[in-house]
Amino acid sequence: MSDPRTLLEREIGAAQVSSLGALPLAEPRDEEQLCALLRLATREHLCVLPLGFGTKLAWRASSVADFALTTRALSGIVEYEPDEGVITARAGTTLAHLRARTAAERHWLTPFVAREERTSLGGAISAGQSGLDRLRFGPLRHHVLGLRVALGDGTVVKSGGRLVKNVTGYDMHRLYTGAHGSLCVVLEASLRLFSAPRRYAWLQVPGEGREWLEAAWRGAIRPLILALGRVENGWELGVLLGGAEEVVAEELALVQHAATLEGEAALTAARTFANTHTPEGACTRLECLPTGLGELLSRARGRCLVLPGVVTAQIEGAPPAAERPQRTLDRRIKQALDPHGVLAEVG
Amino acid sequence: MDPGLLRGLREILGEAGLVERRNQRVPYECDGLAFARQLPELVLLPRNTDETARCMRLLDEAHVPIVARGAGTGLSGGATPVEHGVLIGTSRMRAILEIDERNRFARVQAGVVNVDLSHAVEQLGLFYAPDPSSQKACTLGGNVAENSGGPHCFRHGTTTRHVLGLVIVTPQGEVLDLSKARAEPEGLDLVGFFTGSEGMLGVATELTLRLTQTPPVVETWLALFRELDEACECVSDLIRARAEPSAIEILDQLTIEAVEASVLRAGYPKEAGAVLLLELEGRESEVAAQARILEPLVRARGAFELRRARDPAERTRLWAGRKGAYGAMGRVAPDLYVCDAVVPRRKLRELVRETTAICEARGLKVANVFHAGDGNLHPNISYDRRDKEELARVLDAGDAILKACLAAGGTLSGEHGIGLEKIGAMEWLFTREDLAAMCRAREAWDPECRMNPGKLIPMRACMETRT
Ligand SMILES: Cc1cc2nc3c(=O)[nH]c(=O)nc-3n(C[C@H](O)[C@H](O)[C@H](O)COP(=O)(O)OP(=O)(O)OC[C@H]3O[C@@H](n4cnc5c(N)ncnc54)[C@H](O)[C@@H]3O)c2cc1C
Repeated sequence: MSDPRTLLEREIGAAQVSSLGALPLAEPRDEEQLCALLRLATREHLCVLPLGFGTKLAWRASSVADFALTTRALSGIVEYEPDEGVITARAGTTLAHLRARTAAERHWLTPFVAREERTSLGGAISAGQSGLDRLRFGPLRHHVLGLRVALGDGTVVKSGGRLVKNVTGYDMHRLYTGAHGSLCVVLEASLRLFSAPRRYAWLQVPGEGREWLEAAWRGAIRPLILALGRVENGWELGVLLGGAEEVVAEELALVQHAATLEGEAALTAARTFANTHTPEGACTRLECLPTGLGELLSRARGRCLVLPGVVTAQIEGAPPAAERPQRTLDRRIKQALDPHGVLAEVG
Repeated sequence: MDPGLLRGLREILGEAGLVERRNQRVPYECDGLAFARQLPELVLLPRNTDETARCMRLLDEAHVPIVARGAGTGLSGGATPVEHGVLIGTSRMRAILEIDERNRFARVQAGVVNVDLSHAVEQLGLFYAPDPSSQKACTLGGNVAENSGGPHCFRHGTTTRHVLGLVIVTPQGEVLDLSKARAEPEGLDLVGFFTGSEGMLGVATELTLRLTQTPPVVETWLALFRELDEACECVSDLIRARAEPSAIEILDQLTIEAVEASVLRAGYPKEAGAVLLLELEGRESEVAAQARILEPLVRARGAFELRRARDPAERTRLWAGRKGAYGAMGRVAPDLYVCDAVVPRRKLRELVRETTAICEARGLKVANVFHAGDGNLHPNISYDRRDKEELARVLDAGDAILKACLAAGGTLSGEHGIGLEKIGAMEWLFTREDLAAMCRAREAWDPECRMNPGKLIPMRACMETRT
């Protein structure tokens, strides 16, 4: 039997096979090649680790695979009708690209995450990565309207669609979102978009920002972004206010904070905040109810980003083994959708 | 029914938890899809998770098919019993188990009626956001199974965005406790997948639901148009302008007439060809900012009057009229076939016209009252189910409407589900492979396909996955 690298090179050519650490990394040019690779893996009993840019690999506990497969080259917007408020794009499209394109049409794209120029749409969805704008818009999984995916055997299937309201068939995309590529390889996704505000104001406050959190929870302010990041001896709070002129003015008056950035500068500052505080390496997700925030903050060490709401925190450090329960039902679903075990398990 | 099994079930539930007598089972033979009927062999009314699980273990051993039922207000035949099957009703699971005011969630039993939850938390300045028009009757368990919507879901999202956790009894009678309110799922998103699965994966017995803060200011607006076309165009304009009111609904003239002729009379003007019902909410400044976007758009589209509900009483009346519209239409004909389809929001006018033409061409009377902001059409066709020939025309019109919506990039259902009603249409939208993947996911939960068999997924697709 040939080794995986040789098989891959034979299938799609040596130019499209590089390395990710010790693993061969295949970069199919299009869907057809990608599915051919999955069929090859099925035939040869190889185990595949799907990824976008590989930045969230540390989010899933390490797993055994024979080769990695990136959807990076499958990029581009498939459909964007600004008057519909929905965008459909291929998995390899970066969030930075999607944000720029939709911002030009006065849309806000959620999730707002760190390093969007190295975050692919498929990767964000597979990692179930919610953004710093989570308090306002909720988790990413609520806004994935439909997916086209390749199953382990290379069959292409879809669920949901490109409409803002839809209960037709099972929401298979809810299983795929956050499955870290263990059930399928995402090919194409449709996301719901929101209105972009007329005015932005960014402020960064040292400390835990209790009164800000309190105001947001009460609804006295409705920030687009609200997140806590760990600094040397404590915390800092990043807030992006957004809305109509007078709404933002009212919110600023309420919290009496003058040191703000507006417009493009506000968005740039928000990006910097996200990049500074989002852990890059191995990362644990902790969560708690709003009333448990204080306790959660006291447990955090190292680089850490905290998103209020039902609170979720991304904390630097190796994921503890017990993080993901191996539920029987999870295993049965995995077995049902990927019976040959082509796609790498999580943890 | 096997006497041993019956004895076992009686031991668990007692006499009060079993509905055996034929005449008492008759009310359970259909849901809101009134022309599909099947008498259940037996109706079980457990009081909690434990009783449900013990019953379902016995039914598993005996391989008996199960259909869950909330209030039976579903419109796609989801709760229609199946032959030789047992119905598990949640009408004795009506307890609100916990209200966590500070963290804004509630844990309830599945049989709690939607509006009762909002009433229970009203004093705390909270409400449960998804508000199906049937909210005075339908259960929260049924809402979860159908991923129900409602007028205010335009802003707040449908049921799935409000489900934080579930306790599910699997078809094997095991208790899957996912009730902890979570930000992100642990492992696969089983809660998200279960929501909207139309009672085919198990019985939800307890629900952890997100509560929403009551907005400080709420304004209800009525925009009156001469033509339905204009109202539809106006909605497309609102979406285009990125307006974000909390509800965008349309009622057409026939609907208005029916509402105004009923006990729900709300003051909808009968001379209007269509009414656009809008709601704005938030802080005063937010509402004012929204109003400034809306007003010129509505006027530019030719609204001959734009007015605000004067007080909470008028607002309540307007919404009661909107939500009672189906009931009010009962005056027009004995039965109402409520179609449910979704179209892209920039094509509202075109599709509303087309669906009307489809009905008129078949000699049918159609009224429209719908969630326009989400592109969710509800052409409501009046008919008499005793007239078989008319029923056939209605069903034919339903198919033609779905096909027109699909051709325009729309879909089969926005909130009522597929159930029995649209099972045949699934193959118009999904490939064999798409359906096979759904089948396999279902079989991971229910290898015997005993939960609500014959719904949502065409049999043929299931057979193919097995071969
Ligand atoms: C007048 C009228 C207006 C309506 N308006 C709306 C509307 O605005 N928006 C909307 O979305 N729908 C609407 N509906 C449809 C219907 O009310 C909803 O689908 C509702 O969620 C059904 O709830 P139910 O308790 O009646 O469920 P049922 O009809 O009893 O059951 C519906 C489905 O859920 C399953 N089910 C019920 N309980 C459980 C459980 N505990 N666990 C697992 N499965 C379960 C059943 O098996 C069935 O498949 C309307 C219906 C009517 C008659």
